Amino acid sequence: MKKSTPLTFKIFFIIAFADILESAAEIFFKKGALATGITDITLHNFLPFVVKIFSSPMLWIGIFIYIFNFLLWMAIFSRIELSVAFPVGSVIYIIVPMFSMIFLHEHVTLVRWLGILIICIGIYLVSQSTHPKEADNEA
Amino acid sequence: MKLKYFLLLIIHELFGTAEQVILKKGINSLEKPQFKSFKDCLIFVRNILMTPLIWVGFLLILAAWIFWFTVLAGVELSIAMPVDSLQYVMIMVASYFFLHERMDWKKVGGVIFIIAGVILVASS
Repeated sequence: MKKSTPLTFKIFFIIAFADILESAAEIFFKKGALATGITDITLHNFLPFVVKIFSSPMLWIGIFIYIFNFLLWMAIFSRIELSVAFPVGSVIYIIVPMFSMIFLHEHVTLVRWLGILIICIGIYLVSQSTHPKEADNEA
Repeated sequence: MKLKYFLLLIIHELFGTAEQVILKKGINSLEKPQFKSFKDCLIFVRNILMTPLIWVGFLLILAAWIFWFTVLAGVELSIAMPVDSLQYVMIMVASYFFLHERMDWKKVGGVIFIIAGVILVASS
C-alpha cells in the first residue's frame, strides 16, 4: 500500500504552482478565442472558428502549458492523497477569475465571487468523501 | 450566460465526462502503477500511451476542447470556468453508473453546493 505523505509546505507550493499554470493555460485559451475575432458562435461560423483558433499561437501556448501541467500533476499525485490534492487544486476556480480581472479586464461581481466560494465548498465536500483506504487501492 | 452557450458547455462536459470514464477504464485495465519516483511516472505514461482505449480518450479530449473554445468565444472566462465545475457532478453520476463507484452523503451534499454556486455565477 502506498504511504501518503502529509501536505508539506513544499508540496503545497508545487500544487499552487500547478494551479497558477492551469489558470494561465485558460487565459491563453481565452486569448486564442479572442484572437479569432469571432464573438458569437453560429452554425455557419463554427468550423471557421475551430480552424482559426487552432491556428492561433496563443492557443498552442495554452496547450503546451496544459500538457506540462498534466505531467506535474502526475508527480503531485505520487506524493499526496487525492482527497488532499483535489481541494487545493480547486483553487483554480478562484485564481482564474482573478487572472480574468487582471489579464482580460473582466468585471467580476460580488455575486459571482459568492457563487465561486459556494462551488469551492462543494468541491471540498466531494473530495472528502473518498475513503483513504479506497484511495490507496485505486492509486 | 446565454442558453446557447450553456448548451455548448453541456456538450463540452458530456465529451469531457465520456473522456474521463474511458480514460479511467483504460487506466484500470493496466497493472497497478507504483508511483515511488518520477521514473515510475514516466513508465506509467509510456504504458498508458500503448493502451488503445486511452487513445479513444484523447480523441474525446480534442472534441471536449473544441466545444470549450466555442464557449470561450462568447462567454467571459470568469463565468465559463466556475460553471464548468458542473463537470464534477456529471462525472460523479457517470462514475456511479458506469464504474460502479460509491455514492454517499458527502458527495450528494457537495453536488448541491456546486449546483447552487453555478446558478449564482451563471446568473451574475
